[in-house]
Amino acid sequence: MNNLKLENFLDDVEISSEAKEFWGRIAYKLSPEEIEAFVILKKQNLQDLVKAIDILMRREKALLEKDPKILREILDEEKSMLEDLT
Amino acid sequence: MKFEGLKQLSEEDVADIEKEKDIEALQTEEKGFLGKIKESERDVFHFSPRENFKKAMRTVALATVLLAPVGEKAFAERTESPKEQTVAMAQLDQESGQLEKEDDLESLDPITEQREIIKAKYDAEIIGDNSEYTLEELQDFEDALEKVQEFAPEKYDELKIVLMKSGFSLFPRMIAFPNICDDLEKIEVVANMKKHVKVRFDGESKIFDEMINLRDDNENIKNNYDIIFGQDKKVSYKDKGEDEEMLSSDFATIPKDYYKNTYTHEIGHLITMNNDDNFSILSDKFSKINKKIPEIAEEIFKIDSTELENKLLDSKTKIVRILGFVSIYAGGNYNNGERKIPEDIAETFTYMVNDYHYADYDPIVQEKVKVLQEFLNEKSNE
Repeated sequence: MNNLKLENFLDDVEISSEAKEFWGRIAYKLSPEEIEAFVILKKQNLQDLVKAIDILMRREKALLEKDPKILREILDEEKSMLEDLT
Repeated sequence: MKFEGLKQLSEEDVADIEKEKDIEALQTEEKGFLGKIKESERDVFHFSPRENFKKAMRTVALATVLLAPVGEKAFAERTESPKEQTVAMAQLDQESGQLEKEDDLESLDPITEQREIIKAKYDAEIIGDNSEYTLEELQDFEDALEKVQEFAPEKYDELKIVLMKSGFSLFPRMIAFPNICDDLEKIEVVANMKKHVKVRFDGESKIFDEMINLRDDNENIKNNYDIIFGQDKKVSYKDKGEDEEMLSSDFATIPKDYYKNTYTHEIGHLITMNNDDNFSILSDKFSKINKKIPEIAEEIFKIDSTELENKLLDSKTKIVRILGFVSIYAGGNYNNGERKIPEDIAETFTYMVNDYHYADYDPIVQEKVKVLQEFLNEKSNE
């Protein structure tokens, strides 16, 4: 029951199947602090959660493909997102 | 051992090495940026009110998620521990449900919440029942506190502001009482008197007298509370003989911010009168500057002494003033034939806090702004 809960964390979120598959791969490797952060984003700002997962997926792909150009774009996107919030 | 010499790197190898270096530098920059955001936002939890918690929480959560080293070797090597994660998730789910319930309860009482925000963020007390205040009044009060705190943080920190409603209805106005006493309970007793005493015809009341009587010139005057008698927002506009759409302003405020800036003006009194000796020096400086008005008026503006009280309307802000002053109220306020310098100072303070510039071309105003800025930059000598 509890295991299902973590795996199904994104079930009620409108997000791509790739994102759900990605979550399934990373969920049990996250630290409690990281899980807490995911839960807070889901409760407080779903858009942030969806965007953050998209960034993590793109970053994973860019790292595997060793693509600094995409990583730079991602970093700029993160800066813009967070600077708007602070 | 056979020496084979250095292997010649292909262009592709060099490009790969460059890429890896770039990636490493980017990852360092990213972790530095996200880590810094996370830490600085966490500071908010130490001193900010609930209002900022959600925003800070959102920022910290976002930075924490983005810091997850997904795609990196370190992440791949992490072991899976479903039990630990699942327990964490279940606990969080329960806790956040509880927080939402608390939020719902608090949202039923926005005035209480606003009072708590003002106390937590600006260390200002508000005396009286919630029914004495509207949310709009408290928001205006908070806006004024915020602006002053940003503008003169060190001087602001020396204040212990208490807001109370005076109950004056015949002659409604805001009044500032610097350094009254250090006993909040005594102040509350006086504040509660308005429920039982009649307001005298001359507009002052027993409450006014009692508040003055509370003044305690103890040795550590800095610990004394600084009182603001507030007034109802609606009454405040009626007092001007106009509705909330004032067409022009005789005060150093654009008409629509009149109520809010009356608080700014009163806090200006509290800040500048917090130390008697320093205030005396500041007043003397303002008096001396005002003595130069006729000369400056003639030399620069070719205005003779009969025209000194002419009203000057700034068309953009709709603020009316007279030469040498930031408003009519600043210069046209007399007591026994003497200009009330404290009003001139508090109005100039309001002009500066609001970053107004409509009177910057006036050298007398410029000089007052400079003198007041110097005063605000001075360290307390207490």
